[in-house]
This record gives sequence, C-alpha cells and structure tokens, in this order.
Amino acid sequence: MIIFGGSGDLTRRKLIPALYRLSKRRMIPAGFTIVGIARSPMDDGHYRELLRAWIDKDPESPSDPETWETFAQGIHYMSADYRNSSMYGELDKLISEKDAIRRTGGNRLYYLAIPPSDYAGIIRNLGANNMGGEHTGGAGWTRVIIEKPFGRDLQSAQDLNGVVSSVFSEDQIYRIDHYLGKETVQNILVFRFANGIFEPIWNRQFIDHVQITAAENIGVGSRGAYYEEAGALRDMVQNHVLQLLALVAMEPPPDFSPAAVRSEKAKVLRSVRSFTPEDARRLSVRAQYGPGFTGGKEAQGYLAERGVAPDSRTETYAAIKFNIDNWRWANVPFYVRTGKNLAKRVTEIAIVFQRTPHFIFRNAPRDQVESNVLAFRIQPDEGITLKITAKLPGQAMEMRPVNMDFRYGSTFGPHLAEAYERLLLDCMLGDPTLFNRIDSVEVAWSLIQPFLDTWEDDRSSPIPQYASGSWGPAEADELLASENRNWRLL
Amino acid sequence: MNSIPPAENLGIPVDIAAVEKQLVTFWKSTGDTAAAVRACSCNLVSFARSGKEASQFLPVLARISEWHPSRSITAFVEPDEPLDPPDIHAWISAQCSVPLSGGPQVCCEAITIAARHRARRNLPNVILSLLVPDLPIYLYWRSFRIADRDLIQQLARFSRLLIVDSHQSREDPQNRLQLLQFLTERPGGNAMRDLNWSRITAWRDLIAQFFDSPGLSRYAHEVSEVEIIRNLDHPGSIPTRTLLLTGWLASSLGWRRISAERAGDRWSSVWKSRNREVRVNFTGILSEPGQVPGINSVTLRAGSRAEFVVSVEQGSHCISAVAAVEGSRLTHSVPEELLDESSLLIAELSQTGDDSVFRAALTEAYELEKAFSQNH
Repeated sequence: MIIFGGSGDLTRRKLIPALYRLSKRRMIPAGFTIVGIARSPMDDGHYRELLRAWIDKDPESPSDPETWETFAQGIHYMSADYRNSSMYGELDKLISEKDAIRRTGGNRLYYLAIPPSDYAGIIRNLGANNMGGEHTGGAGWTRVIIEKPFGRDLQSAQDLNGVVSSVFSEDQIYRIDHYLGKETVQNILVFRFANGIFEPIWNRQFIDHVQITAAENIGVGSRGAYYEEAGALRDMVQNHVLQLLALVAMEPPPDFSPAAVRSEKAKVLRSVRSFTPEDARRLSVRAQYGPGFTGGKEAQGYLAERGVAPDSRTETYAAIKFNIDNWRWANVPFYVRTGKNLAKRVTEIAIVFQRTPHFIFRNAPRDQVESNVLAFRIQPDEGITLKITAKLPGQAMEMRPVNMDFRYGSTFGPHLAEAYERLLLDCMLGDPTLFNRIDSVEVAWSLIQPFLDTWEDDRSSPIPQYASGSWGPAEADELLASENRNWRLL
Repeated sequence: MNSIPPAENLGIPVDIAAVEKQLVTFWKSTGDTAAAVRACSCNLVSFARSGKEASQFLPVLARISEWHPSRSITAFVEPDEPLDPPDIHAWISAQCSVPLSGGPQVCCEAITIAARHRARRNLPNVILSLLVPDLPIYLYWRSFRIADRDLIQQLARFSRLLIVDSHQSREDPQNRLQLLQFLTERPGGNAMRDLNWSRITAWRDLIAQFFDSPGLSRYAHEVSEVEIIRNLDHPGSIPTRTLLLTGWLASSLGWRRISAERAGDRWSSVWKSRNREVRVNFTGILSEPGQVPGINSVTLRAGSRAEFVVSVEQGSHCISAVAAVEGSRLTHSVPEELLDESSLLIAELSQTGDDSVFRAALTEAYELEKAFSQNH
C-alpha cells in the first residue's frame, strides 16, 4: 500500500490505526507492506517510530509488542516530493524491491491522502511511468483509493475523472466516502432488505417526509483555509448526505453485488428532481456560524477563524429540500441539513411517518400525538430508534411518545470496526460495493451545481448567521415551518 | 476547563464538553447491569435560583423519577465574581428506585449545570445539546425572575409544557405580577401550569361538585356573594391561590369584573353575572406560629336560600364541603392532599396537555391583581 501523504493528518488519524487494527485481527497477511511518501527527511526507522506513536494514541487499540513487530517489518518510507515527476521511477523500483522481498504478489494499492488539487498530477505521473496498469507489478492487481472531494463542481469532477480513467479502469478506482463504511450505514440496507415488515410501508403512502442531519459541534479549527474553498455543500452534502439519501431511497437491488447496489444508488440519485436557479434559492438555506458556546467552550464566529477571509461568504451550514420524482417517493420531501458548530455532533436519518388519518381520542389533546419516527443514528451511539405513542398510566387518556431503542453498543458490544478498517479491507479484497462509482459522483455534483452557481452569483443579500451551539439559523426552521413541519430536536 | 465545585452536593463534577461520555462511564461504574435499568421517558429541564436550591431539588427529582423516569437537567446561574472566567460547570448523578412490583431498580440521570458571567446567555444552547432526542421536554421554572425571562422564552419554544410556581414569588408582589403577565402571554404557545393552581385542585373539585348534582346546578348562576378566608404568612400580601380561585369562579361562571378595592388585608371585588351582581370578599388572617398558610374557607351564597361552604376542618387534616339549601344539608369530607413540590410536579407531568380552564382563570387572576395594584 503506497500512501501519498504518508505523514499527513488522515494517515495519522485514520489509515495507520485502521491498518494496525486489521493486522491485529489477522485480517491482512504477514507480507503486507506500507510505503509512506512525504517530503520530510526521514528513514524507515524514524517513520516506524512515528507510526507507533500514532498507534499508541488510539485508546481502542494501542500497539502491543507482538503485533507491532510484524507490522513494523512492512513499514517503509520514501522522502520525496510527489509533485516531482522524476521520483516515480525510483518509487516504482522501491515497490518492486519490496514486492520481491515481502512477496506481495505484485498487488499495489495507491492511497491519495493528499490535498485534492494534487490528485490529477499524481495520477498523470503514475500513468506516465506505467504504474497504473492492472498487472503493473506482475500477476497482482493495482488499485487506487481517492479521498473525497472528487472535484469541486461538476465540471472539475468530470475533468478529474478524465485524468483518472486515462490511467485506471473504473474497477481499479475506489472513491472513498468513509460514511459508507460505518456499520449503521451498512445496516440501513440490512434493515430495509432483510426485514419483511418495513418494505410495504417504505413509500409515499406511509411516509410523510425524511430528515437527514449531519451536525458537528466543532468549527473549522485550523482548517479555515481549506474550508473557505469547500463549504458545507461541497464538504458534506455532495458526498455523505446524498449517499445517505440514496441508501434510504433506493429500490431493492436484485442482490448485494457491487454492480447491483451501486446501480440502484445511481438510479435513485438520477430521480432526484433537479433545481432551477429559482428553486435553488427557494428550497435551500445557507448560513455561517457566529459566536456562541459549543463543545464545552466559548466559540468564535466563522469570520474570526484563522484562514478565513473577513468578508467570506462560504457557508458553514446548509439545509436543502430535495424531492424524488419516482413512484415510491412522489411528494415526499427529503430535508437535509448539515453544519459546523451546531448543538451536538450527530448524524442521523429520520423517517417521519404520516399521522393517523383519524384521531379517536376526543378527550385527549391532539397535539400530544406525534408522528412515528424511525431514526437511524449513524454517529455517535450508533443504533435505531422507533418513536411510538403510548398511554401514560392513570385515569386520564394522557399520551406520551416513547422510544424503542436498538443500540449497537449495548447489543453487540462497544467495539465496532472503524469505517476505514472496513473500507481498506474491502478495497484489498476487490469489493467496491461501499465505494462511489463515477456515475453517482457526477449525478451528485449535478444536483448541487445549481446551489453552487446560485450562491456564487448571489452576493447582494447577507448570509444568515446562527449562534454557535444552536441548531442553525431561523431561516432553516422556516424552510420546514412553511410546510407545517419541524426539524427534529436531536 | 476551570471547575470549581460549589459547597452544595450536586453530584460528580464533570467537564461540560464530555457530559454524555461521562454519563456512559458513570453508568458502567455504578451498575449498568441486570440489577439496574436506565429509564427515560422525558426530559425535565428546571431552573433554580442558586446552587443551594439546585441541590435541594435533587431529592425532589428522585421522587419524580419514580413516576416519570426522565433525564433531568437543572440549571442555575452562579453569582458573578469579577475574577472568575465566564464558564459553565456540570455535575451528574443518578436517581434510582426499586419498583413496587419488584424487579431491578430503575435509574435515571440528573445533570446539573451552572453558568457564570456572560456564559449565562449560552445556557439554552447548552441545555439543548444535553436533551435526549425524541422525548418530550418539560420545563420547570422553579423561581421566577424577570431577568431569566429570555432564557425561558428560548427554551419554551422547544418545550411541551412550562410549569412555574407562583408561590415562590409570594413575597414580591411586583415579581408575581410580572410572572402572571408572562404566563398570560403564553411563551412558546405551549401548555403551561402553575403549581399554585394544583394546590387549589381539591378546593375547585369540591366547589364544582356542589353544582354537579342536577338538583343544585341552577344555584351556580344564582351565586351573589363569595367569601374567602385565608391565612397569610405576612400582612398585606395578595395570595395567588386566592386570585386563581376567584379567577376560576369568574371565568367558569361567566362573570365580568366591575370593580376591585383593597383595604389592608381585606379586599373586595364586584362582578356582573347575567342580571345580578356578585360580590367577592377576601379576608386575610395572619397565620399563627406553626399554622400553614393557605385557604381556610370558601363560602358561596345564593341569596338567603342556599349556602355552600368548603373549609379546612381544624385538627383533622380534612377539607369538608357543606351544602345548606332550603332546609336540607349535604356534607362531604376529603383528606387534605399531600401538596409538596414533588407530588405537585408528578401530578402536573401526568396531564401535560393544554388546560384552557387554567388559562381562563389565570387571565382573570392577572387582571384582578393588576386592578388591586392600581387601586391600592
């Protein structure tokens, strides 16, 4: 596994701990080899020490002598600037040497853990040095994992795909969205398609609307400069949120094969109603966080963050109403919201069912009866909750919503595999089910392109502000209130 | 975070940023096993005036949790100390009880938070971040202070029910008037209650039951005089319960107020009912040492033909109702109910819908109080 960005943040926080855990669980073979590439001058010994320090910071799985010894044997480092085309010949030679020594069978996995602006350059260089072919290293396979964002709009995504597909075939390309590796996300499909009782009510006749929330209770921190170029729409909606929408809304695939699942996801995304510029203005809300209190401390506003322009118009919050034009979902709105510095860190999908058609309890307050809600909690505290109404014990016909809970932690134990463990292993095994195919990526960009364009053009009106620690701007509440609905208080 | 535990026992101090995480650890360490079940059917958010009041409230919460298992969040604002930073502290504790039917003990979690300086304005958002999703939110504003009005208004937007206790404002007529006004404005548009309304439930029941009998119902609209005698804990006060009771009679029987006068501890008001006037007189008697302040007796007269009296029976812990109508006499006695804070809150949380009868009585009570304060 060749990691471009071998000393970067993603490698430190996610990749190395995930690989170590896989090694500890005997999920990767003894010959598994890492080649980290970064500019810092360092030898293999120092790189190993660095990686061990990172692993030891993982409270779930710090290093142990036995696992570490074998894991460390496969760690190598190459000090080089991956923007420099002359390094690729040397890299190819190094990989071939390690392949021969550690008997990896010629299998190569390139991981682009680098800024997106460098993706195309690396891919071109791999191609120019004949390092992208399926059997570059002999009989083995060659694959590439590309982190999101894949492009920064529809045109750049298509351009990037043009570069990537000139070197790799689609079945070699693994566009990663770590949300799809989470147990609860995978469980959406199991819940929908392995339980007979839900499919009959999973449609417009029973469901009033769907809410998808991806909320963070931290600000941009030291990533202000990056975030200025991204914003909530690119950072979250185009990828994570639309992927969640696709999993909830897709038709049952004929089987759980990668092609079948990915085709159904792409199909439902193509059914999402596209937006005119007027729709984009009317059916969306963007905002920036202001000062407040969140995550246990006072928070400054976005415009005061390091790396953020004082007159920035980058959104840290986005809420959009989507509609899906097909038989299953006609007239069922999908409301999505995402933001930074909100009240809680929580990602969930809530299926809000229609109310009873007739209320027979005349002496009971009608407003005590709320809609049934089926909520998939993606993070934290992964699980599923069904909200139902129950009678409160006593003389009066008093009703109260109660929750029926399934929690992964209490049912299956607290040790869930990290999303990256699952996804890295799937890639090595050649299973792209949980990775994004290019058609899904492009249709997702095409869906949000009207918002990108409209928001870019609209420089006259001020961007709404919301207090850090709140649930977002009042304008987002109005988006639902105008249709007699409310965002869920999570 | 700078954490300064107050002298009062509020539980285990925890970092406000890690309350949920600490609760998980806490439950693991204190019996999240087959011997104990974590329960939660609602969020109960309370405001206290001080850390001391918050700690005194914890046993009340424990009792409530036996009937209404909840995540309780009690907030208070710490006094400003110029050198202290503007921060928020948190404490967690468990409320456990063994069900009468046996089985494992049922435990609920209590979170107490304190804000200092300008961190006060962040309390609503901090509380929002600690709520259990999907469960109803009940807001108990234990001690009204007009300065906290903005906090309550923000939280009332999300709450199904707002409960106050006007009894806590009994020594400050201006504060009480502001409270009644606040309630009549119906913050958040949601249901609301006053524990003082519940304190007179037995009185209202017994008075209403006089007129439930088909043979006596017509006298309800023939009442021409009402006399309320009440013990006072200090002279010059206008007890809210008396106001609410009068407001209830007026709104239920369709009276329209004509005048209101006050002289010392005696007050009177005149109302128009259909084609007759109704005079309501209040007499306040200073409580003797050891005597609990409250309504002593309520007498309703329909000319000289009928008299209906509800009164406390001295020394028997009973309230009796006597109807003397054209020579016949009917009596009914009921034990005085336990009216401590937890019992009242348990009752309020058992009926959380909008109470239009209370709202109508409250409106009349507020207008009457306003008239008294203007005419005094």
